[in-house]
Amino acid sequence: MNAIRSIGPRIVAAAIASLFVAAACVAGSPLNTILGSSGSTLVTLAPTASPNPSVVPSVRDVQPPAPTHADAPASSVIGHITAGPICPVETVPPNPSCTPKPVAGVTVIATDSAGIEAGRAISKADGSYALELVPGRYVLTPQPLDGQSLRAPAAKSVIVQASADPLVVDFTYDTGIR
Amino acid sequence: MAASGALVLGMAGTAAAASPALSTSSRELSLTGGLTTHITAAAPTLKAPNSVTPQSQAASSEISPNDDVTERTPKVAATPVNPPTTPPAVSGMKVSYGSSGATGFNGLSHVDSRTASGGNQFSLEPPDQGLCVGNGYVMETINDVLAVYRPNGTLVAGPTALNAFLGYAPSINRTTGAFGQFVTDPRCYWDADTQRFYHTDLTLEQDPVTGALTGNTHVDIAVSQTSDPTGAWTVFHLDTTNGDGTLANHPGCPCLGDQPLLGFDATGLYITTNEFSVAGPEFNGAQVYATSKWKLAAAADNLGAPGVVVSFSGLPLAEGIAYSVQPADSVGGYATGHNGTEYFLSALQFGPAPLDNRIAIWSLTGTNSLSRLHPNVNLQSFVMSSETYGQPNPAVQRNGLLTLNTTLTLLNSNDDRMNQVVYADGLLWSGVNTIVTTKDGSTRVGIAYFAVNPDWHNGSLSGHVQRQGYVAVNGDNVLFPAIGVDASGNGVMTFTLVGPDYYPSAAYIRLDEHSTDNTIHVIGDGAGPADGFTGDPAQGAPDNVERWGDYSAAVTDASGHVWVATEYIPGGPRTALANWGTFVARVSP
Repeated sequence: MNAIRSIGPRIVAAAIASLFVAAACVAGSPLNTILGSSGSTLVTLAPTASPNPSVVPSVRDVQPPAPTHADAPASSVIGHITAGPICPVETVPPNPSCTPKPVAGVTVIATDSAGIEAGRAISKADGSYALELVPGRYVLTPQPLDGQSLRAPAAKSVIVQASADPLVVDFTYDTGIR
Repeated sequence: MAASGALVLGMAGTAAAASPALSTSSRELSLTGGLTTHITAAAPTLKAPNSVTPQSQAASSEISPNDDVTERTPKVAATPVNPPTTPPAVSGMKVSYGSSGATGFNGLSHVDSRTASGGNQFSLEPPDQGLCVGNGYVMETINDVLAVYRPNGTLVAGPTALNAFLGYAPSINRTTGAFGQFVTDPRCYWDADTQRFYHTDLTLEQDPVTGALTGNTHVDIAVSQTSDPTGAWTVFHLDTTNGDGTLANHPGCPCLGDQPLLGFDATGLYITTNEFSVAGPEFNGAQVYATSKWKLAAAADNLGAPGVVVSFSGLPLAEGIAYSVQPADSVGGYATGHNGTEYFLSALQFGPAPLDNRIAIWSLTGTNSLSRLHPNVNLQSFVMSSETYGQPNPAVQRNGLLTLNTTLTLLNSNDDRMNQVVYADGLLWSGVNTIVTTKDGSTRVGIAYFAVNPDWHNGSLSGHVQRQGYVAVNGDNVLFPAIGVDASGNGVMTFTLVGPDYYPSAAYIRLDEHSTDNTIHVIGDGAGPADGFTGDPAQGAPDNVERWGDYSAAVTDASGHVWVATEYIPGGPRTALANWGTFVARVSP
């Protein structure tokens, strides 16, 4: 099928799908720290009651304010979905225009140790998402975005424990900018 | 799922039929600028001992017989109904610290970049390696500094901040806090025909007070006014704010032309970019720009205006949109068929599938017309079968002493886009980073390389992979390949070697049209782990993934030696924020 197509000089109309704005929350219970499993990124996350004041804001972590206890019920998994890099190189101090952008409409699926879906959430306009899960070991998988060039990040394994504090798990989609 | 057959993407100077699919446009643009600038003179110093004898770099522009005009029966293009699902399994190669036939020196480093321009620079990662060699000079350019050496490593000009070289204000004035231009993605090339050095980069304009991007972007093209890179240069600007320089008709623009890629043939200079929205993250695919190198060189000498720039945008490829379409440089002769032909290669790995087994060849024909007022050129692409390659994971590195980070970082292997392309002895050579499974079962970063033979049939482009293979080390990683090839098809591939057994090191391997050595040579032995700010959680890297690359460089000089440069950890002076450096080497292929 050596089909040949000719395309005349015209104005470009590259197909870039627009982002959805959606929200989702799931019921659940406490959570906590981490561990990983083969085939997915192993992360070690401490329970996060509030933003760590010792962490210097930078290119990749200057994001909308972290949820507070009032925003996220106990045992929630919360986080932000962003897309980056926005600029080809990274600098210190970071360029304010190069902060990764929030991505809405990303579905994050939590599967339990048996591979059964235990919950899913869709990121909001500010990139935030929240899941509530019963204590246990899960793999959080951000789904590919149809029609976009953003490359989905690797799944992360987490252990959700009974806790009053939400577990923060952020994901960054790769823009391809280099 | 794959397109097959030649895809005529667009013509400039003639009318073409409309396509119902993605809309391709071609336009004629103009370069602006004309500022004269210089690289700061340096007191002659030897960067590092080596035994290279300065080479005679007499101009050589041998034009080979017109061997690609013969039309051949096209091969059937790849149409993988079932994309690969398993990463390639590779046995791995030996690693040797003996580097016979090669010598080199420490190139520019993070310290050079950060301290240039009186320290009025940002700390930057990664370096983005540019290298060009000719007329007895070796020129290196990285983010955000350049220097000129003699072939024995003696520094003769620089290090000069790219902002200063381009005539811009410092990227950051440490006294006043004023922001200059954001300059990145440098490359350079010595063209023996015009006897000129060419330097390209991407510049993003910034608000001088806040540093915020204004949205105006351009690719700068600096051309030496003589064959001496330590003399005067002229800087031209190609507006990339909206891809083709017209009104705001590209989605998401104002845009930036990310990672400008540079190629040359007998007549033209070719730049391709990936167009992203400055406000992000819309992606409009690859843009292709072509202009006469002869007119540009003359304009640099103030002997007339630069020629028109033909641009192509909105380029479909298989089931996606083209990205990182790498234009070729040529060694030993150009593709002269079809009134002058410039070739390109690109990868086809469109998300979400992590693997693919196809690559694409592109041709821009009619390039001899680039010096005309209205060039008549034609862009085609063809998809062909290849070995499997796919999205690599970050690369683990050998544990060692850290100064900045508290946890050993991973090195970002980016993706599997096509790297530098060279056309030699009728073949197009290049390689990509790829996920591999090594003999011990580890998932690592390897290199998939290709030698592509262009084919033509009744004016339609096709092609086939004549040679391909993998470079890998059992349990370790190799990443960011660049291949240089001599006129007889003997080549050298450089890359970074890193893994549980190796600090990030500069390495190379020899290959030719028939075989590839089984031994990787380490020429710049890493002195410790990479320990930079982009892997530091305190700087916003929660996954400890540190930027690396983003590309290496390889170029063949007039004597047939291949010069290579790539990132490694040199040891010695560092700053509080990074310890990366580069290694420059000359290798007998």
